[in-house]
Amino acid sequence: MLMLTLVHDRDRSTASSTGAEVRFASEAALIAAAAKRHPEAARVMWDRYAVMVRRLILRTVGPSEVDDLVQESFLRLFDCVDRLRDPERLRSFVAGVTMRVAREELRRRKARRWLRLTDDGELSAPPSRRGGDVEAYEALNRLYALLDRLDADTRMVFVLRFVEEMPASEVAEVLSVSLATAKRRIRRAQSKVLTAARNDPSLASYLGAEEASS
Amino acid sequence: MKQRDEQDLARLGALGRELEGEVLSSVDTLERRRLLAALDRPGRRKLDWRVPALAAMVAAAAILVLVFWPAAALDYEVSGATVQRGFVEATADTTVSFSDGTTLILRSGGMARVADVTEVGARIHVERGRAELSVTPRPGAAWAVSAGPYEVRVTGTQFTVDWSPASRRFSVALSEGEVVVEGPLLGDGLVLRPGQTLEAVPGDVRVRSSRDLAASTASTPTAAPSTAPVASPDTADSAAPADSAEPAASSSPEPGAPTTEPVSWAQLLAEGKHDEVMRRARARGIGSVLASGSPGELTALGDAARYTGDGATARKALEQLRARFSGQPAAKTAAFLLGRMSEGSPAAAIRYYDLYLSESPGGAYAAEAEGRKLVLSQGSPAGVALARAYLRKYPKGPYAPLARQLTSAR
Repeated sequence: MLMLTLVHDRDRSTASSTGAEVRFASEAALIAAAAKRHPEAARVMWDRYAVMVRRLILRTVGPSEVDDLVQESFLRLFDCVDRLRDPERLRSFVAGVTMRVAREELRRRKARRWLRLTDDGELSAPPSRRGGDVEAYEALNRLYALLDRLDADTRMVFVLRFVEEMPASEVAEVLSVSLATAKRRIRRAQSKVLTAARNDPSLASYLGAEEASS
Repeated sequence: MKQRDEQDLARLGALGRELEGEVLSSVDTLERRRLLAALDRPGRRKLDWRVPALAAMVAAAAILVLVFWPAAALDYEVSGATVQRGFVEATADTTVSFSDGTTLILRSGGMARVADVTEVGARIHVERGRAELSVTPRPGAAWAVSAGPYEVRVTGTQFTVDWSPASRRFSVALSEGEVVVEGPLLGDGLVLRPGQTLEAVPGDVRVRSSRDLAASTASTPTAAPSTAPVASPDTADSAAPADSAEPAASSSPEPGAPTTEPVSWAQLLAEGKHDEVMRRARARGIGSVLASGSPGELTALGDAARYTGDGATARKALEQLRARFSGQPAAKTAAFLLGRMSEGSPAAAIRYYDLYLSESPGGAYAAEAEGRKLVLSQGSPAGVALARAYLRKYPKGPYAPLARQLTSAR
């Protein structure tokens, strides 16, 4: 018997089609239901975390195959959510699963590049188009091109700490490493990214312009 | 950590956050449905350890092959200038000759960097000035020229790139072959044809054609203004048949050059100004745009109409693309989009998807079209056959879980 409480008494399909909200009695109940692949739990998890998962994938891996990687992240999540002991850490757990998928994808792509197996010979697709500020668009492209050149761990750490603005403790939790290791990786990532950004004319110009305007 | 480091990291982080994870609600709904279908499939099995092991063995074998029988990277020589840390600074006209016959002429005052030299090409960064590249056509040739935020991908061709980092003015003039230009406002890339020149400054991208080209393409079905705002990538092929002519590779704007509108519809779309596109279309008359608009305008109108909920106009724009520009990339893509718009009537949608697949069997949306057909065919006798066909083509495709579910339910 699943421990969930519906705020309505309609059947599942009705709930889905009307968008009626389903509430679980607790995070533990949600996790238990998710472990059993209950559709309502899947809907709740998707509604709660899909944007975060997509964003993490996009920022870590780039725009190519985002949808498939989001799907893979959720499927993995449902495969292993029963291992989560502390329900209060569900968000970090989801982020952790996502980053594992991202890491595998980054390594797979790196291997494919090395083996020259990409379809078009390009190393990466540009980030999604951003209207308006062309300078910022260019800087954004350059930033993600720079991140493309980093190793998977460094890129993930940079994204989590400086783009997602996670504290070091959460970075450690998401990446399943000790706090000391996380801090060491953060220092390495910030050094690499800063050096590369300042050597990149577009990014250096962007940073200079931002500094002048602040 | 220094204060400046902290500030720069904060700025870079803020810049990185410009890339967001939100999608259209319709896409989100479809993706959620896809997940539910995959989860509903009995017993998603965790990855068999033998699969990655086998993949690792294959990869290791491939690595050994690469290590012991590496393909030789191209050699190149620079005459007329010295090379320092990969940079070629041309105080006079300088020629870089590659061992496959490809040549790069860097005009006096220019600076470029040759990087990522492989056995099939190289990446050339034009730091400033004019560079003329003549690529020897070879199977698998892969050359790229980047300048500022722009990149030109090449397989075999002759063209000239001009880049001024001070004014951020970029141009590429194509003499032979075909190139794809990527950069701000160019989406996934724009195809240039011989005789066409793309000129870009921050906020504006235009494609011109030489008078000679205009004469030779007088029968082109789309008469276009002398300066054509760039369309979306799908319509790039027809971006700029023209009748006027600034010599190719001019890096200064042509005085008095006629311009249709200060900002292209594609650019407005890129900036999310769908209402403005609709306003301009209405100002010209929707009927007039449908009857005489360029592929780029029809594509932009279709997109803007869809985004603003005007399905009827979107459909008309796509149908006009099909009717007036048959065979062009934008018309082929229109078949797919019409399919997406017709899913309320599965049979009609499937007809459009079939049309798209027949015209673009290897197109960008081919896998998605097959997947959508699968979704629409669930429960029908054809569903299982489609599922099997899908699995044969895309065993790891996004709709593979659904396809397996359909085949296993039999």
